[in-house]
Amino acid sequence: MWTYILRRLLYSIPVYLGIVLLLMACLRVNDPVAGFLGKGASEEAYQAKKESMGLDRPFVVQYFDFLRQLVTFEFIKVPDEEVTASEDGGAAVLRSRGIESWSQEGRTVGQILRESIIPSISITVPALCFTLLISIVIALLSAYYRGRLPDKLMMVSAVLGMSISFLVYIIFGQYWAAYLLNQKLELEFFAVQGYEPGAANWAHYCLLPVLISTIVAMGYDTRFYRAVMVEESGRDYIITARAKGSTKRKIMFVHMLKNAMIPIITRVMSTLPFLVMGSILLEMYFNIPGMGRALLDSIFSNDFPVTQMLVAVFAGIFLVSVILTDVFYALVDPRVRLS
Amino acid sequence: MSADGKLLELQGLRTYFYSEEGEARAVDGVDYTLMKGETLGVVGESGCGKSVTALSVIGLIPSPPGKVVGGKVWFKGRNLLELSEKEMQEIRGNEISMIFQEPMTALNPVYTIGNQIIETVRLHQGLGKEEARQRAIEMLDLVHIPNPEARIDEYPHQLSGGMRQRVMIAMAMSCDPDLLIADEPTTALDVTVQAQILELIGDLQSRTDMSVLLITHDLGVIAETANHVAVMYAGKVVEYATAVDLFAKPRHPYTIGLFRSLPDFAAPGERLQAIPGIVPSAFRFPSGCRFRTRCPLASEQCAREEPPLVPVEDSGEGHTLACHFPEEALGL
Ligand SMILES: Nc1ncnc2c1ncn2[C@@H]1O[C@H](COP(=O)(O)OP(=O)(O)O)[C@@H](O)[C@H]1O
Ligand SMILES: [Mg+2]
Repeated sequence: MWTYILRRLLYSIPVYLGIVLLLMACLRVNDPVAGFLGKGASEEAYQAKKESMGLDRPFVVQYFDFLRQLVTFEFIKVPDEEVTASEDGGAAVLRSRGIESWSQEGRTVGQILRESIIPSISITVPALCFTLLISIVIALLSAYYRGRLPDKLMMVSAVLGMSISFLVYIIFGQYWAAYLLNQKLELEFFAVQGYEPGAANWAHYCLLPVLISTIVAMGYDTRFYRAVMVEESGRDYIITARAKGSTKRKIMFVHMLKNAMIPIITRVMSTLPFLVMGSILLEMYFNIPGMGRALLDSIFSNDFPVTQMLVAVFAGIFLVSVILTDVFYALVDPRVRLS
Repeated sequence: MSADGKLLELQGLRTYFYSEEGEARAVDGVDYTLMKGETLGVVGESGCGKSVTALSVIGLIPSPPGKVVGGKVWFKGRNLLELSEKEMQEIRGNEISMIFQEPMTALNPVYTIGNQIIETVRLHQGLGKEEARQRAIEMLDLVHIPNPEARIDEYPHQLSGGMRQRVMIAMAMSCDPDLLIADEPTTALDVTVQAQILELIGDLQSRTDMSVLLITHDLGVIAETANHVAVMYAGKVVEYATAVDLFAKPRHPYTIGLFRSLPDFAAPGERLQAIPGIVPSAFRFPSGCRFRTRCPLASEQCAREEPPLVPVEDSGEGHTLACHFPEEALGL
């Protein structure tokens, strides 16, 4: 098992190197410094900016330097108070302070990463847990009552839920759950938008987006999970289990669910990178300073260092989630584990 | 147990499937009897309703689309069709167990074989974990799985088809059932393994006084193992007799056709003859006798009247036949 994980990790190293190469090349197709400074900038300012990021060096050097920043975790460094206070100077000092953002003066990429990841996760992770739990339960019930009224009701609601746009949920959620409740009942339970850190503020700012993304995802997930369960319930081993006198409940929860977990895990794992990146739409409409928004902002403001690093981190998370998927696979499925 | 030695008696069992195409009369009036300790072979071409009959007995017809719409299934003095699902659960795996055609898929891939046998034992015998495990090891040993103490923790995919079928048998036998239903247990296996599995079933049967309902389309298998034989055609039993009587003097044109189509039974020098035509669809059976569309003896009476399953006068005790022309069939 451990050698399997190790092997998977080793295999993904060249893949990641390739991704980073591609990413860096793509971001340099249009001169990032010119893009940031605009047409009116002086030659000196242009050169200074270029040197400060080391963009004047040969591409190969930049590539290995970037890899070094990733490997040494320099990219999550926040500025060291003392150094900031003493000098304003050269590249060497800058590096030791972490990688500076271009558009957000005095802030480093590390700061932006750290600060935006928490809001993202505090929405996506609870949303995923809710969705997973509720969808699996509904799918199980639906498969249990297959073809009968409860199944039909649940599937009709799932299709209805799916057919309504994400935006409609956001707008109605903000209007009814937040605005109207606040107005009419003087209840300040849900914020219409915004974010403040801290567990105490979580329900106020995050619960509504969490509920909305749960509802949106549920329609799709329930139908998918139900299809998985229905497929499993038609397998031969189910008849064997029934033939030996297992109860219907035991067959569902012991025999079927573990088999159904295999495709379910694949699906959940494939959403893992988006958990970290957050939902860009939700973050925009609820004004939540998450990773998705940080990335968008950096692109719009030509903040080259931030864009480059966020994309590289995102790609890394993506690869890790692919490996995790395989590991989970192996945990549930002895056919994978033992071969 | 009924005094006359009958363990299982089917009377007019009918199981239909409903779909948009209409009503498929998969099993449409099946009668047969299985004596205690004996083996009843059920033969017939694929699709004639053998499996559906067996699944109806054990109460596992998928519903929807299927439904047992009529008849009686007498087992140890009780009509199984009248029992609740809960009562049937207590019978399944305990008094009646079943093994299937596809050992490769019949076991749950994500649990060890031990786990699956233990589940059965604990369900019905209320044994503790350790006792159940011991029992599972005993059962694996009984079905001649080498090194059962180690094998018990293996997963189905680590075993060959023949071994998996042995595991299925071990599981089926783990609660000492009165009846083992074996639905084409050897069809998916290699010829050499087939013989071993049949031998194993026969061996276990002789030790335990269990009855076996052996479903197969292979008359050779029947010849080796069965005491009685029921020949099914298009959802009905067309001939029922002791294996001795049936092999000596088959009386239904369909049974005769089955024998003719097999190298083991055709007379030396005679050419093998497949039964002409195809099995009629369960949605649209012919009027009258369902075999008439393929029968050399078919007459106008066969199209009009369905022949009942009645005793044959000039044959052994209990030989029954559903044909209007029992005498003429002798000349075939
Ligand atoms: N789950 C099902 N749904 C619809 N029809 C079925 C189902 N199972 C069996 N049948 C029909 O019942 C008939 C008999 O099938 P079966 O008993 O499996 O035949 P066999 O004698 O080969 O075991 C077939 O014509 C088949 O179409
Ligand atoms: Mg069959």
